[in-house]
Amino acid sequence: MRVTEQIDALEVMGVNSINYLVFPKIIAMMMYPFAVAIAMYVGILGGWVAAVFGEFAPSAEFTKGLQIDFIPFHVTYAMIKTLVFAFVIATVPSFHGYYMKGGALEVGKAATTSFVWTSVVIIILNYTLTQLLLG
Amino acid sequence: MIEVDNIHKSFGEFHVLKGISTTFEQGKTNLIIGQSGSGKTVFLKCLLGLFEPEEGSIIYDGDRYADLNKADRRELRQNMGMVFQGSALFDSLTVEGNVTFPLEMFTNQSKGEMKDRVDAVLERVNLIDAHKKFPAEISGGMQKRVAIARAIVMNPNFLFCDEPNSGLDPKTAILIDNLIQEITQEYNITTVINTHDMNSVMEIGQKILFLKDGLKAWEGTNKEIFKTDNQAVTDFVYSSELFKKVRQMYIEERN
Repeated sequence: MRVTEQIDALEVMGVNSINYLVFPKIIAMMMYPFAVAIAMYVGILGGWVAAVFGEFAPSAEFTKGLQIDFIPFHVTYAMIKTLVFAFVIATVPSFHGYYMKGGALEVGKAATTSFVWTSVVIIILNYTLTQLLLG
Repeated sequence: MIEVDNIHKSFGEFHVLKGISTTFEQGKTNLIIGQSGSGKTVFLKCLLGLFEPEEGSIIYDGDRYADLNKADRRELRQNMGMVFQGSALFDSLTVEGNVTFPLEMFTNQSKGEMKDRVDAVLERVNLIDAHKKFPAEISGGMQKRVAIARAIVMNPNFLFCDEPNSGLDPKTAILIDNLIQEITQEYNITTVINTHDMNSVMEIGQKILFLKDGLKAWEGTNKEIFKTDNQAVTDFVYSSELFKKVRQMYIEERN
């Protein structure tokens, strides 16, 4: 959008381009915990289906096994990490895309840079959050 | 009307605009010409409010831009239409979606009212059957016409065009020029066009501003440009053999 002057077009129209382009991404990513909750549910359901229908364990034993090591705070911990990572995924690439300069070649470079920085920031935050919340 | 008074703009140590003063009149097609690097695009971006000059002032219909607060500036921008060099259409939206976009953002019109307005402006730019097409599915000339439709859909007082006929064949370029001139007169808009195209200069240049090295080197009309002895203008405008001959014929005709 930067290269093809679409962002300039928004600005000229009087649209706050950062607000218009980046804010919805952040809001959408803040919905990520719901996706993670569904993934958790489907993962456990898949384990139950495999255990019961594969005749590895009866349903009651599977449920009991799940509950033995269950720590409720781990769900909170997962949701906190999800929210933080979602914010990083929404903002770091948006920053690199919004402020890039040049042509098609620079778009490719900006995409690579944003991928690298997103990964680096997530790795650092993953370590930091784990130390802070579980350390 | 836009009044520009002694504007300066620099990027670091590079002084791009070195004190330009001029007036762009309402209902006229005002052209900015000059060599690459002369400061045309920076000047146009200053007029659009995308760059803020370090010195000098720009007055839009009596409102000095520097004195306006953020909300007033935003309101002023809603009164401006811009046709970008590459059209700058939103490629994820259809032609209709692109033209409707400013109405959706800034008006409380009903869907029916918006549709009527969009149909009217698309008809005005002679695009009747392209409503549902995406920008990638239409030609460069059609994209320019969609960009013009999007620029005028809010009934702006100011229309800015950055090289509106670059990349178009000569016939389509003339159609776009004529369309811009007709719209300017029909809606009584202050139109400022940044161009390299000498055909545009001769055809629709009701006022021409020639920039050289960030300074106003000459201004006049398309009639006066034939008569001027300004060396910088003649070197630029009559650099091709064709235009040299046209000028010669004009001078001989007058004598």
